[in-house]
Amino acid sequence: MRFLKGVILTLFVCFSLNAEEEQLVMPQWSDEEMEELEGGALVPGSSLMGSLALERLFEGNREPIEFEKELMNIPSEPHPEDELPTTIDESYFQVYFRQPPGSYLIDPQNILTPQEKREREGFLTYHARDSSIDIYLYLFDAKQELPEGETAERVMSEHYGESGHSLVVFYFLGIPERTQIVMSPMITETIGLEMRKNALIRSVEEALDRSEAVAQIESFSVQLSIRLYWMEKELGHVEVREASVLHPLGVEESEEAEDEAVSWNSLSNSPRVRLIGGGIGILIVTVASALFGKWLADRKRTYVFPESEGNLLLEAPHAAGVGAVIAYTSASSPPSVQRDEGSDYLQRM
Amino acid sequence: MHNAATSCPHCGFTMADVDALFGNEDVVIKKLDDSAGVLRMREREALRELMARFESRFPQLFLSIYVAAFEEMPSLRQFGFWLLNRADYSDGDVTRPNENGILLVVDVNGKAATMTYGYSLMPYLDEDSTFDALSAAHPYFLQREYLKAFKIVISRVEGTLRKGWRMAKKDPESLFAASGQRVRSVDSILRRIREGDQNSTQGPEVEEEKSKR
Repeated sequence: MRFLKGVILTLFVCFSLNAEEEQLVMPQWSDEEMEELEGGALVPGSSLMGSLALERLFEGNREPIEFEKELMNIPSEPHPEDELPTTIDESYFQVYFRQPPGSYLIDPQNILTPQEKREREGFLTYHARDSSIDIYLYLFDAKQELPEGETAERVMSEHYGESGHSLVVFYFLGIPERTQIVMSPMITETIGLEMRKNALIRSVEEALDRSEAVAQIESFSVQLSIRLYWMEKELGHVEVREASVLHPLGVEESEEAEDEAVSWNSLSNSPRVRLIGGGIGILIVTVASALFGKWLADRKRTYVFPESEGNLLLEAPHAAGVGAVIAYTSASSPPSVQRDEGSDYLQRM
Repeated sequence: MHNAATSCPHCGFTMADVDALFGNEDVVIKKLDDSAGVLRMREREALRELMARFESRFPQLFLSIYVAAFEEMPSLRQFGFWLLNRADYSDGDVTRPNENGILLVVDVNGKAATMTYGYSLMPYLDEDSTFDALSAAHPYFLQREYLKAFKIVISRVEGTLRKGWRMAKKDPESLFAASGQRVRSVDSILRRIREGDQNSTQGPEVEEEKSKR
């Protein structure tokens, strides 16, 4: 009790000093209040705690404190989500739905900060360079509803055409469960519904593992990119990006050409490359067959030398061709060292 | 030595000198003679097959291998020279005279090997090419794996002969002229075939050599 009093007095002195410094008139304890305070009848702040809480405080009871009705009725501060817009301003319709996208991340409302935008766009651009399936991520606020008649399917059909491999994602910040994805017809023709649904579900699950809304987009897009990689494998035999309608990043043609030159997928799927590859393959097989045939013919070939005649040498009736003599007495010396130089057959023994 | 020399211009060496050393009578041997006994039966069979294959590829030529364990051999080169001139191959073919033969002699005691060849092969083989063939087989000679060594020697010799054959097809006169020979006329070929191999007697010196082993 004494400790409590000490604390209260200290606080009082501090406040008094501050008040003096600021030259403010602070409330003063009346004599009655001082008596009640010293007697323990008055507890500063008890009006906030409620009388019941006060009793329990002094009883040493550890039961949960119940606030008084007045306190319970105090209106709480509005939750930020409640303030989120539910409609999309018409001024954004043009960028969202009417025109081809200018980037892989479509966020005309600037829901993300510029830094966050750069990071997300950077990843989607990286994915587009590495993959034949581009991701176009349309970002909406959590509670925003799409205008009537506007759907992801319509955006896909209007801006991404029938050709090419594209994926349109309608992502609602902070609520990954609302995500919609639409794939271009060339993908849906090849990739089964199960695989497509699985890609969406896994990506949303990954996003839900994170608590922050922006981090959720990151997890979602990374997982989606991984899932698209496997779809690409399935699409291996399909023409890729041959007649891509849009190039949202505005990459120069030369850069694009370079990217395609180094992309194995685009190489392997190009009909010209296939033609050349086929030609080379046929050439290799032909050469290999020719070499094998030559080897086979050589094996069976007979070598008939033109007959020669000449004078006898050294009076030898049949042979005067004396070749090398080589010793094999030492394993450490090379054959050339152990060669018997000179034709000693010319010398009388 | 001049290509037409009947004897060495420096010392007068002739066939008679080696005849005096090893005998002046012809000796009957087989194309594969392993008097040293270093080859197993299977190895001998494999080697005979190799030699037969060589003969099928080169229908005018034959290959002979003589493996001996000499107590004392003053000159393996002279012995090879003498043997190819004095050998009467009992399993030989009359159409393949000794002029068309290649003789590989190995002295397993002296640990040396040499190669001798007939007149017909002088345009194609020389000391360097035979050294190449023998040195390629050197590791196997060292390990006394004679079958492998002979396989390599034969393979190398075949390669050299194939090259020579291609050269002879293009310009035989020049090739033969380099070794003091000329293209033989058809009459001459027929005459030699009719004559056949006239050497059929075995020399006492070779018998003596064999008995030493």
